[in-house]
Amino acid sequence: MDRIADVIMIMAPTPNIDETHCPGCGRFVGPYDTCPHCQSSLRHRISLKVFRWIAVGGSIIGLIILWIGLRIQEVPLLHAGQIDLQHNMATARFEGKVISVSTDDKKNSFRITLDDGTGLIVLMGHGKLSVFRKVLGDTFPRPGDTISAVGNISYSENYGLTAFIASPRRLTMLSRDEIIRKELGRITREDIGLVGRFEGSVIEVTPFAKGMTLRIQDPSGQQQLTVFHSELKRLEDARIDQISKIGTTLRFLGRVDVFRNDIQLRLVEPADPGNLDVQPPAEPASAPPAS
Amino acid sequence: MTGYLTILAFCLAGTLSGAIISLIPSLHIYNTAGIALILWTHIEGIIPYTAVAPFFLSLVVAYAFLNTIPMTLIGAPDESASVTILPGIKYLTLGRGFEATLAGGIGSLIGILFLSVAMPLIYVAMPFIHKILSPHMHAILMAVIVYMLMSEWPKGEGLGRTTWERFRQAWRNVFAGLVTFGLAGILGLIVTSRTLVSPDAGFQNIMPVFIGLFAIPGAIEKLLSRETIPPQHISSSIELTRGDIGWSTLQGVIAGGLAAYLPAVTAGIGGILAGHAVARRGDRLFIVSGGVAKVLYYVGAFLLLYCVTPLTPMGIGRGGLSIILKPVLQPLPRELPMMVGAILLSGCISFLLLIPSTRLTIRLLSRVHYHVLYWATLPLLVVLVVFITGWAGLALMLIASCIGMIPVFFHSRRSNCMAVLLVPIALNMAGYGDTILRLLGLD
Repeated sequence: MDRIADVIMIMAPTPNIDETHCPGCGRFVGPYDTCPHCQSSLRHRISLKVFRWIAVGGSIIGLIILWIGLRIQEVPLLHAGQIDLQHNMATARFEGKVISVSTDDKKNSFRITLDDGTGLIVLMGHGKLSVFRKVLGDTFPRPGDTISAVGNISYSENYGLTAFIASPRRLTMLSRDEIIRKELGRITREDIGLVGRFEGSVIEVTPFAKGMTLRIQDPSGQQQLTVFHSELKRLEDARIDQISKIGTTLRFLGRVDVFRNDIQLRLVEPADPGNLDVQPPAEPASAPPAS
Repeated sequence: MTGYLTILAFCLAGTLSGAIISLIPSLHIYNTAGIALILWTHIEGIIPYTAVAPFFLSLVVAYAFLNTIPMTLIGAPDESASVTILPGIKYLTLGRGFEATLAGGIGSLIGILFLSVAMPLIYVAMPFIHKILSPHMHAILMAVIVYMLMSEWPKGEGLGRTTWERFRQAWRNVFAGLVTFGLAGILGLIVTSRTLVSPDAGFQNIMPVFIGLFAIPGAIEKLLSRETIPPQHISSSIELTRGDIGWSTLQGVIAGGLAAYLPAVTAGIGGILAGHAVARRGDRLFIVSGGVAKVLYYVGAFLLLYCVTPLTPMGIGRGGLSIILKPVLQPLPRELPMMVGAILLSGCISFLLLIPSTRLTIRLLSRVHYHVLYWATLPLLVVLVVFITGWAGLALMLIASCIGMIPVFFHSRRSNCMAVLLVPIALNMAGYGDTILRLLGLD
């Protein structure tokens, strides 16, 4: 039982220990300078209080210095091509051109695919779309923009290379090219990746499992426009039915893409205002009723 | 057949490696597992892909068993066990350290058997539970935080000369607990927003913080201590009744289940909640249930990753090992029986290894003072931190060490240090992540 009592003395605060007791083991020492039980000196001792206050003071001062240090520190720039397994969970900055943006209003989430010249990285925001839209407004990234983003790298077998962005202030627009209007017949391979405004009438519709390919035409020539059901679902209005009617005129923000070596156009955020205008074909003038 | 033998060989290799690493006081298995994974990616083919998960799982299983030795015999608890250590020390001072270690090991064996039997049920039920609970996770974590803080009672012997002195003695630990929780929470918010550690060491960017909060203060505490280890008796039986086993299984399963599923909740915190839920007291119950909880916390959490169902198509990734293996592992539900087999094999071998390892450690401690072990471990930890995370990591470790020392010197719960993860995770899940970043000026 004595041993238990000794341990408790060691582990618990030891108030009221007088000069006749060893401050090390708590046992009676009488007039000695060195404890006969544990051999600790009774003269050359530093109070535990000193360590206590070093711990409290050190943590507060340390936290303040850490906070100041991090505020003035630049988040290092990383390139997608150099990211390895050891970068998993690191916080880093990425700069590059936005290749695609997909948003999900239901889940309040977004995915931005960024090309920084060395590879692709997906920037993600789960449950943050509304905050990002509110704070960024018009500067919310769209394909073709050059942006800088600070995110936490997540390297996973399921999702590949992604970076989670915690705050809209961690995403800044570096440049936004003016959106040009391009005629369909003048689109070449050099335009792959270009985001522009296009206009044409639907002349042919070829459905496939997950969407449809529309052949559209303007006076300069023809081009294929691939539309996925997932993109149409987000429109939630009459444009869903009208878009696949022959003769419909489409004015849209699109991106020049390539599939199996063929150039095709893709819609850019069709649900966003001003990005897709669908004009149904004009009704043929009805004949006057026979009298 | 070759595939089977390969997996078997790597299970054994993982168990043996884990057993050796576990005997080093204050060295956490996740630190070594992270480094091992990076080595694996650089030395192609050293472990075949199919054997990666069984190898690392066996490593962690062995740790859950054999870490009981440094925890009990030289008082080096990991983050999961700051609550379960006190009864172990009491046993040690009575010369029953061997018995206490084996009692913890028996708890771990019960945990492995429970997981092996219950895994099919967990696989079916967990996705539904996850679907119901996950939208409310922030509220659950907040409740855990409130419970953790409110369940720390004033201590003190009431021996002060004045009322103020007695009040101060009694409430000092409660106040120190709150201070520890607050400072660790702030540290967590800062390091999860941005970190001093270079992106090249991103995979271990939280390591200096954990070594600082748990390993360094524990080592310093032991180095300051004048406590000596009395001669230990090697017993051939354990004082346990069927009732003890039943109640500790229940308590351990509740504690480990909570720790395995709730993010940033460790087996120690789970133990506080489960202890109050079961309302049973006793050192044996405490030690055995601690062993059960540890297995569920380390191993069960990883197995949740294999709950790949239509409701949870990516599995329910929980625990440190899931985070470490996520970049290289694509879990398939059909691999779950293999994983259960691996933990059963590794668990049983680990238990068999526990007995001679405990004997060996007791013999070692009778010849070498435990201070020597800590004097060897302390520089090892510092070198590890500097080698992997650089001088910035060392600075982080020092700050975290100061915070980790507060509960050591003021005798409050060390599990309050887990606020380093609990606070940022709970606030982020509640949707306040952006606001916190803005307030800290780290956005």
